[in-house]
Amino acid sequence: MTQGLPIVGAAGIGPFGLDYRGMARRLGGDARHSRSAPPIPPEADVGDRRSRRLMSRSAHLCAVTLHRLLDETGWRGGLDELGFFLGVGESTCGADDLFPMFRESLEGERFSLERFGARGLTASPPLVVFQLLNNFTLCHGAILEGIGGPNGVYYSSAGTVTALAQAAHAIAEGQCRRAVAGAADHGLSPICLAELARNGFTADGLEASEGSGLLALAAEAQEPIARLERCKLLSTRGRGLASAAETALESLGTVDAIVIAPWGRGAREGLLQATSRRHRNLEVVDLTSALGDALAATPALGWLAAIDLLTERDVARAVVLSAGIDGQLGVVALGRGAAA
Amino acid sequence: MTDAVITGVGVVSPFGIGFGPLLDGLAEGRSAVGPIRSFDVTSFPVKFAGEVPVEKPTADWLASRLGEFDADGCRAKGWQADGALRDRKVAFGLVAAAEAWRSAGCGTAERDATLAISLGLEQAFVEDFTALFVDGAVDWKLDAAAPLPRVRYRSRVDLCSSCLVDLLDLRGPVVVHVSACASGALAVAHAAQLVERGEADIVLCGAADSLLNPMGIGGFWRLGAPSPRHAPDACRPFDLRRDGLVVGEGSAMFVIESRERARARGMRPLASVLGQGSTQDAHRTTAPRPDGSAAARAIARALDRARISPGELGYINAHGTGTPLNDPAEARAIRAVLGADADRVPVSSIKGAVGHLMAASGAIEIAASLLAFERGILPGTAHHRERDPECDIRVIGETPLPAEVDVVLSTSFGFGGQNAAVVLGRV
Repeated sequence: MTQGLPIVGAAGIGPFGLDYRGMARRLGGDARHSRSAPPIPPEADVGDRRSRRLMSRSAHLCAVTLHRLLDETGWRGGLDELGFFLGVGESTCGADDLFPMFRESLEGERFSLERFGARGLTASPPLVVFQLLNNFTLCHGAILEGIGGPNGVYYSSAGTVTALAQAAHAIAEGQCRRAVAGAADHGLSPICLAELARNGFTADGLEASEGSGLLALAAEAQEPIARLERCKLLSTRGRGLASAAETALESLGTVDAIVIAPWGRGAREGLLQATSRRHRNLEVVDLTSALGDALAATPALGWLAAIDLLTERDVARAVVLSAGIDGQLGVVALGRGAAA
Repeated sequence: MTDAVITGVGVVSPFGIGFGPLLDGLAEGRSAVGPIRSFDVTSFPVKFAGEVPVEKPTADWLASRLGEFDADGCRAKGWQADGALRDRKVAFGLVAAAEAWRSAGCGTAERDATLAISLGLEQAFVEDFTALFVDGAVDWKLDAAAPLPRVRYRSRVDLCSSCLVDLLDLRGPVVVHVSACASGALAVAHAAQLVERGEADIVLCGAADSLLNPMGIGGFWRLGAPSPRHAPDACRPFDLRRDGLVVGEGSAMFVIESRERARARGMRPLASVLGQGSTQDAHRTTAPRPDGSAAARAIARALDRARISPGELGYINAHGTGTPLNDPAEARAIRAVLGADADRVPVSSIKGAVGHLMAASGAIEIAASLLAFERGILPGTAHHRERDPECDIRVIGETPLPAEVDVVLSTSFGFGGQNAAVVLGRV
């Protein structure tokens, strides 16, 4: 893993607002935020009406965040070689677009395959397919901004940690000199909320939310806002989350702040157990307790909170521990940059 | 840097179950595209596909294919009861992975393996939504009382990988690639990178996908991508008369490890993964970049990383969808990188024979490329009879081409503009 890779910019949208700065302070204590990101003001929006119509909510959040990140970094040239690696969630699209298809397929109260083929398929706009393809969460933004370098899209919160690792490797191996990495996800669609409830996650304390978080990484930088010191995805199968997290923290050495991004109550208890054993006196920022779980986007929002700690407080090294539904642990260590 | 080699392969394809049937079908120049049988398509605008010859993957069928990995069939029965087997790609991925794991001689000593898998979209179970409608409106509160299996409305994207982790008791990290049609190649490339970097000793990788369901077929038809003709030769890559793709389904899985590890285990590598590259078209949501320039950069990057010159390339297994827009753009990309060597290097697409396996296409095409090393035969391009002058490359026609080659390139271009290229070498 690359040591100390410069992070030259960060941007995010989520329940905390349209700017991540000051986020860690607002997350402290028993703070609870709305589960939705605020509306995108017209001056911050991207694309035209048609291109936005093709976007899922996740893709829209990602595209707006990407635009802000490129503005912040001043990366407006040479984007043909800019890397872009993203974690994404399930497919989402507007119910108003999708349900006419099913409604037209009903014969009385029963579903008719014959009617679905003959009438249902044409009842929804064809554009709905572009919303459903989850790799378009990356592609819409890349197309709007002209990003053409190495890329990859990965599923869920483990995928988001993978995206950051792949971006760092792409730079280290010379595939590109600069890369964007992060995630966007929307957990507030009716089908997603129904699935979370049915599978017991809601009862286990999970509150879905939404968001998008992106980092700008560069091979070299004069004044990075932070440095990526470690990025690792670990399976906890066979040893448990608390044990895996404790081992990971032990291997990191000195840590000044910890952000945890757990999926549900069980994961929260596991991460808190590990942090209290290794770093009893450190403040722990519990991201999902304050912001809800933005699913694939949660680790990326945790990185933003950590960068905020590095730049606004007397923190030299922050660690983000994310634990998703699939039992995998993300460990990302960030160090202070020259700009802090 | 450590060499990454392929030591195991498993395949579920329209030619049947197993790596052997895929190689046999391609070596004999057959096509497995035919009428869709897994559901009634009478009223559907798409009627032909590259369909795996299994009408419905049941627990009994799956258990018989998993063999020693599910000797009492308990896991397969559990997945069926849950509704997981409603998504065809779940069973295909499990069966292909079991074959790859078995053929690589893997056991408990390899259970720390990383899993890098490419999976397509969730499968939507359109009939389930009926339970939510009251007087033509949807009421999600009815979900709690719906008499449906646990997996309903749609499967989870990572349903196959979570079943696979349970089946093989894998203890390593799991990465699920979702880069559309480029993701199968990217998953294999990622696996090789993990081994090369020393981040993983051994990786189970590959892809599984199926759009052979009402929503999958219907959604793709709405995009205008499938051929409008209902015929076995509906997909004709690089042909003057091509008019669209044919949807396919299946899975290809691989075991990738270091050459040293393979040697120590006494395994014969089938190929080495020499290099990979990816780019983004950054062009339009609905069409590839016509000049193929971004795809060309992916190919050039893969060759550069493999330290292979165009003159050393022996064969290209192309993405070759048979759509009016893809094939000339891809031919321009190949010509741009290979230059005069494009007149010499044979190119073929297997999509006329098996259809477009979407997220699994890159993986099955890497498996198909191994025909060159395993049997000294380059796959033909089913239903390609007259080359489109806009596709100015050396296309292998319907008849497979005997040839001894040492380096092959496989290209994959995803909907949305994601491009991937992987270079394989004879070991």
